[in-house]
Amino acid sequence: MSFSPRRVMLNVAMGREALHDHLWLCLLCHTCEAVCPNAVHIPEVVEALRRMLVSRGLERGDLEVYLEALDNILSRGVMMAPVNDKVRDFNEPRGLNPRLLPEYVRAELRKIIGGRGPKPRGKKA
Amino acid sequence: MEELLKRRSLTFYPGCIATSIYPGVTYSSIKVLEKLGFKVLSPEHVVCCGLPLEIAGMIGREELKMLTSYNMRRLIKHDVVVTPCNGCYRTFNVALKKSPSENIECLHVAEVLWLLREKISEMVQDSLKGLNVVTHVGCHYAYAMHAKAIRGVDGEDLLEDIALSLGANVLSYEEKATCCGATAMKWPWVLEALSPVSRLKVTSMVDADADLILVMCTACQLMIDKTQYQMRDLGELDKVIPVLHVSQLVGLALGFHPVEDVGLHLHLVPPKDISATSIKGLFKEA
Repeated sequence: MSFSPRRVMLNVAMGREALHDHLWLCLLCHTCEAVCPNAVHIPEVVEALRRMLVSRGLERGDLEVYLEALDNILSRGVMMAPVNDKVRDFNEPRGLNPRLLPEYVRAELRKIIGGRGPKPRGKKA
Repeated sequence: MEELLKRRSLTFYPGCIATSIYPGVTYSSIKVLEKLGFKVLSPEHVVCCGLPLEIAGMIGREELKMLTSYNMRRLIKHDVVVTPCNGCYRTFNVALKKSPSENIECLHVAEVLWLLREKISEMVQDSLKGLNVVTHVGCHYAYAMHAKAIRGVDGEDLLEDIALSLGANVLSYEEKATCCGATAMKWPWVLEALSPVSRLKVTSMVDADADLILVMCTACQLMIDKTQYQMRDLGELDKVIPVLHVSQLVGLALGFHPVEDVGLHLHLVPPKDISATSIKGLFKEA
């Protein structure tokens, strides 16, 4: 299977159901957008279709790792902790390790991005 | 853009990958910018730009705009922000375009280095002479921001211009315009099976017989570094090439320490001789 921006746009134009796996093959590299003679913002369409799938709880298993990323962002600001001791050791004396966010920042972030992401299967958003 | 740089003060925003995987990019960038005469500030806290959640279909443009606004106004608190990541650059610029009242500019560190390449060239005096590089600008700069992106003057792109100004040779390769595959979804797919796009890209780069791969995005750096590492493990690549962010290469050319300042020991594909005393010794067989 390969990704075709034309197939995505044709499905949208025809009012057909989004092609689940097909949508996740898009690299969102924006190459199609840069060369589109009609200046269609195809990546924005792909992103919107992905949000529809996610909000319907269809992708939870595959996107579990992004729920972890969301948790990390809400606690330390970054999507993953330093990946190993060597990175932590490099960061420490240079003051580069991510710190736990103060509660007032976490509260603001929760308002903006908290509770987002794949819902349990079968439940409507 | 030149006008902004005349202010000589900026905030450096590293993003998630430079913070947690390649902190040598952060440290090199800050030291290079300081060496070029800038006062470099750090955000109160680094909070993700939101791109990973956007591509996963978890948040939309409205949330990105709110996240950028919070980052800029409450944590970064400066009207000139510089980042080493194409994803952060693209996300901030898209969000700021939707909020013109913010009056904040987000530049890419490669843009700053490109604008000051003549000054850098005078400082390093051809220290990369004899090194062969291949460049990869990255899609979230070249395509997603194509109306704003800087193109090459002496070479095909801004990275080629910077490499040439340092005295390096720039090699061409078949898949130069191809994506590295870093935003490939979903992660379990990417982790279990190498993306065919990443395979294609990396094979083409290695076949060019360069000494190093030069990038300007930490996500591209991770993908190209990781893909080579995996392909070598699978017996699909006989040789691998270090992947350097442009800030790291300029840092080395300026005489920074490969481990203490540039953090090359943290890469999956390290240089050939990490203890080499010359920049050429790092990348070429003795």
